[in-house]
Amino acid sequence: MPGIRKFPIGGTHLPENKDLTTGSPIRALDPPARVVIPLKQHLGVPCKPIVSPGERVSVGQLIGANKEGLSARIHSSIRGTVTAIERHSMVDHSECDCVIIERDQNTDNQTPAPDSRTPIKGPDAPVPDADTVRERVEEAGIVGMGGAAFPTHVKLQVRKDTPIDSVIINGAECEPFITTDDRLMQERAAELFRGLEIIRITVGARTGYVACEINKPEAIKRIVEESARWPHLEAVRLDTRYPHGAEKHLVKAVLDREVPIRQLPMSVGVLVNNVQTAIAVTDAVDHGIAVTSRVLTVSGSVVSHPGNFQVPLGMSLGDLVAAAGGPAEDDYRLVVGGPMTGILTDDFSIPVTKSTSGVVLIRPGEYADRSAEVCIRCGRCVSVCPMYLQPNRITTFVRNDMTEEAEEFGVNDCILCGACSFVCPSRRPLLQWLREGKAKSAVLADDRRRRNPV
Amino acid sequence: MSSTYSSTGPHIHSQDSIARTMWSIAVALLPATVVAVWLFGPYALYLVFATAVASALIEIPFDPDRFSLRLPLGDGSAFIAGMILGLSLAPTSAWWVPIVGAALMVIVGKYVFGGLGNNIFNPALVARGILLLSWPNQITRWISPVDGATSATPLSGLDVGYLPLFVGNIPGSLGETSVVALLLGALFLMTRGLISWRVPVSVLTGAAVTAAILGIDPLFTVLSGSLMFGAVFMATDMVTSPTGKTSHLIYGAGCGFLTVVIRRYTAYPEGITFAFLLMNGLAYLMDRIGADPIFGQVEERKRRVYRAVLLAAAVALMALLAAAGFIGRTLIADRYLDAARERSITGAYPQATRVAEATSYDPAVTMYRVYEERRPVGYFGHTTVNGYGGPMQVSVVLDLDESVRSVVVGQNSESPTVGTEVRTSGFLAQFSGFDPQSRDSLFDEVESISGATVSSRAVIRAVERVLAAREEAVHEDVAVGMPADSLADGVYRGSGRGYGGEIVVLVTVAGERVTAIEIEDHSETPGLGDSAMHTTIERILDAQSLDVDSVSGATGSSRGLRAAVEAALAGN
Repeated sequence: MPGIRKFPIGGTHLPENKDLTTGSPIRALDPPARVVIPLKQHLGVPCKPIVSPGERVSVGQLIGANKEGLSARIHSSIRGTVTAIERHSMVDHSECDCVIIERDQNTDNQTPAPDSRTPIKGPDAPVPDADTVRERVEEAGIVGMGGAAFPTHVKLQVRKDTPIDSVIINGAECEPFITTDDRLMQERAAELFRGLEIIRITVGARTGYVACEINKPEAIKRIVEESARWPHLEAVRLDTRYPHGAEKHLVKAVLDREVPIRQLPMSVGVLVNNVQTAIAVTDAVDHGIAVTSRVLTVSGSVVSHPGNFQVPLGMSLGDLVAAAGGPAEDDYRLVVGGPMTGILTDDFSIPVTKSTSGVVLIRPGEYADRSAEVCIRCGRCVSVCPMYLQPNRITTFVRNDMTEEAEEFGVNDCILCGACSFVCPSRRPLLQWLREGKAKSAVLADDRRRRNPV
Repeated sequence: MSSTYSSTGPHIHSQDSIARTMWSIAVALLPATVVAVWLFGPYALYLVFATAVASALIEIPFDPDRFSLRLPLGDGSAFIAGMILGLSLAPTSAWWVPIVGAALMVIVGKYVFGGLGNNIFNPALVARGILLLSWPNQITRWISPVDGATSATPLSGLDVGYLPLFVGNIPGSLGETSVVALLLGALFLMTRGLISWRVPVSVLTGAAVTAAILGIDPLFTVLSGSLMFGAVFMATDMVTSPTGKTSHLIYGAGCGFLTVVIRRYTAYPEGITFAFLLMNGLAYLMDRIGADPIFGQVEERKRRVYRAVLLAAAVALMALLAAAGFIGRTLIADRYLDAARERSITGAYPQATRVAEATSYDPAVTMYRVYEERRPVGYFGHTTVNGYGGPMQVSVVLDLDESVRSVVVGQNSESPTVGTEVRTSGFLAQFSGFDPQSRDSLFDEVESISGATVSSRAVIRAVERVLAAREEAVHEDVAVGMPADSLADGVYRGSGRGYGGEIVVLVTVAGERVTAIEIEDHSETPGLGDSAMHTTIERILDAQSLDVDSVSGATGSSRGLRAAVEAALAGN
């Protein structure tokens, strides 16, 4: 078994806080009285509703699709009646058309329990041909469930000029508090490896890897056991360092290949997938189950019963937090996603989508209050930057509207991991300024295009 | 500054802050402070903390927001800069130096540029530089921590071993003398992640390598003066040093290089103040040229390696060329010199068996004593003067009574038709008989060759210079001869008056020759007088005569030793 791997320079250690939930088994939540299912839970164009108000729907029934452009199908997550199709606010401050479904009063336990997905196929089981796999994945509406939400059936379409030789399952889960992939690797390793095998054969890769940080000993134990059964699949142990879950850094750590700037891992023959995505592929290909729920972590020392939950899509954050026992104190902030890259919100009506990896309630002592003192040029942001950028310098350019200089110093290569903001002793909101820099650069690029049309 | 609330994360933060960073550095400075107080007494405590507290107080009106009841001395940035300045002062500095220094540091070094984070130059070094130029004796009057006497530092010639340099019981600035205490502080800073190892290590490496190239002891260079203090606490100043990994290395190496160059080639025994200030000014440039390729700039990384190889090859080639040129030039010059020396010596003293370097009071004149067997028979002086067409080498052969026996003009670039006339015996013969006493009349009595006046006068100047270089030696009151041939084998004790007091020697005579001279007791200056005495002993043993030259700069010790040997031999 190979040693512990890591990417060469940069990165930082975070307070992990994973012990709050790493030992709590995934619990399937009862369907809420009402779900708000967004018609855009993916990267690309929104789906069009194919149900109308008053119509009765069942779990897994297709309710939204779009044949034109990049999209992923949407299915109902509960059995009930469509009451409306209306706009609703999303966690990223955008608005989106949503299908509102109210639960039937007389039904319970609509979520299929994990044991209904049997039998789990082993290494000798055949894998359908690539077109069939992609078709079933598309029908199931699978997207990247780590947060990117890129439609998976498109990702599995290999381009001839960039053959894939390796598939990596990203189980690094380097965000503090979040234990979603941790629990899935512990509880559903067999399905994970089956999903990886399906993906590996579909894209024509030689080897598949499941990579996990060593701060998850139970998960590592399971994937190491499981990998022994699969001749083409390997378990890889990663050192605990933020941001190992960043795609390019994962590729560097696992295969020692450097993805050229502004290119995808595909350019070095690698496909990276999320743990839950791979399990969803197994569900779709072997059992014909669509994505109607997802596993996520509700954590934070303020939460009464933090844990890992299987949540019907469209459930509101309010219902979700209530299902975890609600907050035990009044003073907290709600973060959707991990505390490093997640989004802060106070709107509890926002629905859970396919890419919601967790909900964390942060206590006052943990807040990152940004007072933005002067930069003392200590260089810590430079030393932790996993992209080898100079965040101090770039943000100075951004704040002085020197966008071209910011571009020259690589503002567009920033992966927005937030390590620089985390370590800054002057508590400067570097990540926010870097986002501003990218936005300013995009405006500048538009101007350039307008002035010099190709 | 206004409180900015960000909804975009990260929503957690390390427990770090400016105050925590700065006060940790203050902790790292404590070992050096404790050693300073132990070595130099409680006044050292005043100097360090007066500077630190004064700096913090002077900062209050400029930036009141940095001070609170919780942090009465502010975020510590001014305080630690004050501690560093205080530790760089001489132990004898007047009571007002800390306050004036603190004011210069905070106002000129920091707030003129806009305060914390905005200054280009290390404020402590700015203040130190101004103090150094304004009150040099306040900043550089060193005392020995052992006896409190005013003393030179190891950098300005005090001869000490490596161990005192390491422990710190040597003269110097308060905080710089103890390498142990400084390393302790450095270790603390590195384990806390407050400084990168790259800066101090590259400063010390840069200095050691430069020293080795210039022929200075690298270990001494690293351990002496304030280099270690500067490498750990000054070069690492966050605001004024670069931020990148590669740029740290370039910056540090530059600091070390310039420090040694300033030490070696300027009037200042210590170079870190101006070396580091200069490098501070280049910090932003370092960050630009030393910027690491972005993760994923695969082609750029390859290009860098290629460029680095090219650069290294070019540097190696240049070094090779320079070395070839240097060696070639030296070989040619040496051969010519040897030939000229040979000619002039064998011409004047056909029986000469050996030459040994003799005292010269002019560094531009090389002086040799010529021996036939063991007997000194005369002198030979060599110098280079500027003639009509460039440098001209002139050798002057002197009798034992220092009068000119002959003059030889060696390599020159004088015009082939006219200039060479100076070589004709008619001109050079005119010098015979002149001695150091009569050298003033050279210009009146020696007739220049018409049409080659410049060349002629250059030769006259050269002869005058050689004679002048011997003049003082002639006035030395030396005993001639060493009557060891009349003595029985045995050990004889004698004493003579040296520069610092009585010198007592034990002289061993065996087979009518002096075979050993041992110094039993003396009070000569360490590092200077004692080495001069040993040189003199070697010369006496070598010549088997007391007629040897004194060691320049330590004439008293040399003379005292000879008197002691003479007394020992005469006492029987």
